[in-house]
Amino acid sequence: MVEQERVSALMDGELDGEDLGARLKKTAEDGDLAQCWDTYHLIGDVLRGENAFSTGFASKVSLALAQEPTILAPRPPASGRVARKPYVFALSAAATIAGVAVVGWLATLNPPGAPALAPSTVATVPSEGPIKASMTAQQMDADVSDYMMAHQEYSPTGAIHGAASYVRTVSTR
Amino acid sequence: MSDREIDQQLVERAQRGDKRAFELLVAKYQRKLGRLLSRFIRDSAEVEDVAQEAFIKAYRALPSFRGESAFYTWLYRIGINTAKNYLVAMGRRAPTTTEFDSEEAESFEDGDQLRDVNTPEAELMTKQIANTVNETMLELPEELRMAITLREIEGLSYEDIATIMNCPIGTVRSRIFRARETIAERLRPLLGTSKDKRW
Repeated sequence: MVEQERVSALMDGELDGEDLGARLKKTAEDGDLAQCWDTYHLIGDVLRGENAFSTGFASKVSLALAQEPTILAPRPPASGRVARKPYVFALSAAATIAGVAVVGWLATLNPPGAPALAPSTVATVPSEGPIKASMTAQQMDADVSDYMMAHQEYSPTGAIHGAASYVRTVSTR
Repeated sequence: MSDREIDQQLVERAQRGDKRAFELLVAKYQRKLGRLLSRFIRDSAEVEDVAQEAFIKAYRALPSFRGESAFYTWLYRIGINTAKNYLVAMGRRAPTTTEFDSEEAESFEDGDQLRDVNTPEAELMTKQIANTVNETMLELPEELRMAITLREIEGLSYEDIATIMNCPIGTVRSRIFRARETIAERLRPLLGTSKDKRW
């Protein structure tokens, strides 16, 4: 199919299987194709009995347009634009699934003893010295145990947080 | 790919700064707009002036066009308002909204009501063009004439024409193109070939 034949089919809305935007761009930018567009429309209008304007009408409008500032309008949010791009939804869903998968995978990692950072950090903190005299060692053990029991569910204990915490609770008691 | 979709694409290109895309819309709708305006402006030179003003107003208003209506409905509305303002400025009676609206204009087919007060040169050119088109149509091979008639006058799709003519759609596309190109070849000496002679 020659280029002019594509213009002919384009103006009839019958140019399937081609990028419409690219084809219109080519037609607008190529002087010969634009002239075909004009002449083919003129032929159709004359066949339907519509009077032609004088020669030069289009060029007069073109000259007037040339005096106008170029429009650079933001793309209007036409209704249905998102619906015409289903890949946006697909990408969103894929990103969500990937995020959930990464979080889940990280949760299953964390073998016992692996997060050595926290204990070692604690170990390097300089000691404040002996606990205040008002607190006996036994009282301190009891307080620490209560504290640990109260917060043990937040400590990383392996893949089965809930069950492990109860096991330790039983053993502690 | 519908006509409205093509117009919308051209409008979006023009909204992004492509004036040549808007010129394709001018080429497509100038005569339809002229026919509309000639219903209440008698002088053809005035019709052209008002049509030109309407196209420029439409271009300026492009950022506000959101595509809720078809481009030509929107353009015709601008054309009618421009004509009304023109008639008021000239001290003539503008048509009321009940006399005329753009939806009615789209289906207006009565050629007898067209005002034909062209200058002698313009009238001669118009007649030459019409005669050239009609004479070339008569000289076309039967299958080309039928294909372009079914398309341009009856407004049928290629698929419908293929069914009627009992041939593949590709053949319909080729026949319509060859018919157009044959007529265009005859018209080119009248129209000129340079870009400033575009209609």
